[in-house]
Amino acid sequence: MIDNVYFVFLLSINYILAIWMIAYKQFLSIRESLGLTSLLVIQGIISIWFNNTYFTSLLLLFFIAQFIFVTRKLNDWLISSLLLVFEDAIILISWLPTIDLWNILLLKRVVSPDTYMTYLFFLVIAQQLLLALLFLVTRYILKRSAVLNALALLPKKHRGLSLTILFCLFFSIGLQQSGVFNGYSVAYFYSTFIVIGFTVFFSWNIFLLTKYYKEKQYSMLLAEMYAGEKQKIELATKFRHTYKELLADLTVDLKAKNLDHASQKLSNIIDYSDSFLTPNLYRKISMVNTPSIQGLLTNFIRKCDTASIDLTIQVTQDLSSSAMNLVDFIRCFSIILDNAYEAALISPEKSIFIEIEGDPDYITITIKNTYIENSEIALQDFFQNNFSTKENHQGKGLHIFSKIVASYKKATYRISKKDHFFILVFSVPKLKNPTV
Amino acid sequence: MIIYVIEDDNQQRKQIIHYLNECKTIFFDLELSRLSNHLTFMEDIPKLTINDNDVFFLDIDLKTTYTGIDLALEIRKYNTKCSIIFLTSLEDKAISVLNNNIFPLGYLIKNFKDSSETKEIITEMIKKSQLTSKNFWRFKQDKVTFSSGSETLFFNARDICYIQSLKGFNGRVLVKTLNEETIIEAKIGKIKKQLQQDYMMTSLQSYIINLENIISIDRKNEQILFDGQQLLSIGAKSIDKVKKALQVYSDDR
Repeated sequence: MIDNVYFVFLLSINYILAIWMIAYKQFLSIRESLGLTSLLVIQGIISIWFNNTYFTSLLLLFFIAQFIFVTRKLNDWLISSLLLVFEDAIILISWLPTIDLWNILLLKRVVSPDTYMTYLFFLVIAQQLLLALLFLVTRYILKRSAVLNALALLPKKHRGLSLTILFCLFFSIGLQQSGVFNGYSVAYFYSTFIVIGFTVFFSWNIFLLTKYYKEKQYSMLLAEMYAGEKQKIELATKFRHTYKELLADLTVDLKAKNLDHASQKLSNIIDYSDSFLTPNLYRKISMVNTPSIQGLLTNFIRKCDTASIDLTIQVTQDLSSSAMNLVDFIRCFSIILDNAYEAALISPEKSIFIEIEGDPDYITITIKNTYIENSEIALQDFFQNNFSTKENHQGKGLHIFSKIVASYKKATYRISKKDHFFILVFSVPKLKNPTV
Repeated sequence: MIIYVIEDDNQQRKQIIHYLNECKTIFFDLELSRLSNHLTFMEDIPKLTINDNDVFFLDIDLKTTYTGIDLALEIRKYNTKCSIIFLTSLEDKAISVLNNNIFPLGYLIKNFKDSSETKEIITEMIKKSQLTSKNFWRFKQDKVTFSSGSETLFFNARDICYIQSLKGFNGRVLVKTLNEETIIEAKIGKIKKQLQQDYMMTSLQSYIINLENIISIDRKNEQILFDGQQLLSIGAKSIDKVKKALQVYSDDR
């Protein structure tokens, strides 16, 4: 059978592949990826150097470090633990039809030790290739299904679930390792089966959880839209009652050539039906086509309505094709919306204009709001950390916004002051193959 | 710039044309197309020569075998850059415009109650569509173009007071004009190469100064006052350099 020492070395290579093919960019920064890679390289070399399989336990260090890095970046325990479980399950799957099968054939004496050793190298290469292929497929599925976004948008932290997943993972890995160290091939295969089994079980349950949350969010949105529509219908019913009367009055005035009175009546009709005819912002934001952002905008409309802020929204591009991580996008969008709201709220002419438009490569969001001009504040000051024009404000919003945007290569922003308006233009690149 | 208005309601079409005629004071090259029959416009499109600065106002609901969206898709086959503005009575109709890769400039919700608002929206939309057009800048020969990320921004160099490279903001500059200030993603060295105008002083390391727009220089307080009450605080040494450059520029003229 494959020497246990080389087993540790191979595992290290497997996890290095996992870092660069799955975790890098989406979960880890370049520095963190390099750090983890170094840890695995050291572990691999040490295990060969000292010829000791107990160095496999160093993998625990790698797991902890990766968990901390991912949690720090995404602020989500569930994603961090699921990532570890998935990496492990995929690695195990890649071993099954390659090296593990070869081991079984040796144990069952189907192949001779000489033949085993002759072809072992090719099996090792085949395992690496299969793993790379599985990682490619996983990466594609993650991108297509936008699972990460759905997970990150779950309202609860799910730390208990996350810890349970980690416990199951470490327990089964422990079993598996003891199988390896003690040469219990049956225990090894059972534990492999357990890891893959519980990964599938957890994945399915989490899929159901995200689906439930998505549907709940969507039904909440629909309820809000329904309330808006109902209000309009009530208004229309009321309007119908007086409409005939108004038309009759108008006809009488026109017949009598009482034009001034007719014109006054017409203005009355227009004013009366104004709220019925003015654009329905709730319907406009349904064009955004991303429920979580629709929810954000719905709250914003309500906030502006309560504060009597004149809000105009123009949408000519849906946001489902944004290449920016949805959680980051929502953070950026909510920061600039809050910023516009707070500035407009204290300005004499309360007005905000939001435009979401696009071209084949980019989505551009323009937010234009009124504000109180203060010549002593330079435009660049707004992006300084801890800068705020208001008391008891941390002043971190736009600073965080600029940091998030800077972490995306092609995303950009521009700020201007023009004609008594503060303007922020924020562009994000589009996905080449959007999921929706 | 040729403007096409395709609207089945003659009254509303007249109203839009009325607003557009009023816009002629701003857009001197605005020309209204005589093609207006929504029933035959689909067959007319292949015969048209569509320029990038042409603007199409298309009613979404044309009450014929095709919609304004079908017309837009046909127009996009011949020109991907011209501006398309959809007209609609209710905003829900605009939903169907999305996901068609038409990339309209916007949509105009027909609201002829408030004529000034509608006129303002139309003017703004045409202005936006014409920024890239040469004719738009005919009276302002000093058009300069800066790229900021995905955006292309246009400035009239004569309106610029100064451009300042921002410390702590990697690759960002502040552009102060007579009536606007903007922070864009750009390198000052690159902008210096672009601005070859003799009234632009590009010899300072972190600043580009428009000598034409200087009103006064206050060495004591180390400030330069520009047109539009724009104030720049800069070191005494730089003030001396600006003074010298201003002297040379005045002598040359």
